[in-house]
Amino acid sequence: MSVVHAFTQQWEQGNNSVSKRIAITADAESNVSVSVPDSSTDLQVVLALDVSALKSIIIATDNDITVETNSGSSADDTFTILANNPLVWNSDCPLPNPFASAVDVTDLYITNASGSAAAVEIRTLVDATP
Amino acid sequence: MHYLLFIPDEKRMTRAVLDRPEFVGLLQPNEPDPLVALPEVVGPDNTHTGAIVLPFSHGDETRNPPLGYLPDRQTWHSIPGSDCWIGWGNDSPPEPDDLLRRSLPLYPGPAVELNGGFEWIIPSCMDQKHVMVPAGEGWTTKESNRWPDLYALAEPVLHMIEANQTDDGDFDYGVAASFVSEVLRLNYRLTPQIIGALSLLDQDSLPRLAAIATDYARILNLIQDLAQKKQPAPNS
Repeated sequence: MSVVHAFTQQWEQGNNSVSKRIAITADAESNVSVSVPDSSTDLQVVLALDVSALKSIIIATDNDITVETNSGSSADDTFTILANNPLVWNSDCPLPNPFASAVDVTDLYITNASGSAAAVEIRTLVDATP
Repeated sequence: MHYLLFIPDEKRMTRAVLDRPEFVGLLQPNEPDPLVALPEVVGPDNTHTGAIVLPFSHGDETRNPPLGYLPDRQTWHSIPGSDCWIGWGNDSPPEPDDLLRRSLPLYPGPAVELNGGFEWIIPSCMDQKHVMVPAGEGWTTKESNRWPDLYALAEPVLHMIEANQTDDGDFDYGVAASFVSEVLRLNYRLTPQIIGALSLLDQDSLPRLAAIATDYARILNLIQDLAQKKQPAPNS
């Protein structure tokens, strides 16, 4: 079964704009939405991810959070995600895979010290049959 | 660790996910909001996606179960009379300490071992505080408003226990289970359906639990004391 995750990226300055839509296709996805209360430290959320097979990812939040992979104390990768400023990546872009450790993910540990609950949205697309 | 709930087809991430008849009273109004995750995976019913809900979060997140559906690492049971499921880590079934309503005052009572081997605090009617209130020109006592209207439920149970002391009257296990479950949930994040899913009440111990929760022995002693005091003094 093929799954398509589409991204629209837009640049604007005054009346000038550049908008591009890309669609990434693969055969599996791993998604989760979670509400992380304020003052949460290392809230463990299940998300399995083969990072070498990752085709695209977006992690979005409405309040600042820190996301660590596989451990809250000795994480393999750590991302600081600012409110309404998502981490976005796809395998066709020239930037490297954001999971620099290359260690597969079993769980995420999310910390929220923003002062408000954070609505966190994570969408990933993976090639399950590379 | 605390149990998780699976609510099929649920898309909300708010306290409202527990607005279902089977979860009425699970969270008291002044208890914190539950944690909710919406993993886009088919849940324990093998049919639906939905919400994974942790009704209570410890301040210490290491004491929380992983928020998600892990069929290999969790045990799930369908909740009787509901399309929802309850689950916990294979090696960490819910214990009384996990489910205690810590943010609320404790209803006192003895710690009693229930089915499953853990000791649970069962509030006893007689142990509840009475407060003094003005009545006319004097004062009288009334039950503290912390103790909900359980006397109405306790009364038929008391009569049933009393009848069973003197003859072989039928013991209605349903009536007793209903009362004991209402008493249990005062201190713990439980509902009758969750008590059923956790198999906390077994038929053999139910008469004893009902007697504890109604404080039958103490009431009997009071009645006997009163009867003795009413006896006419022997002629000298």
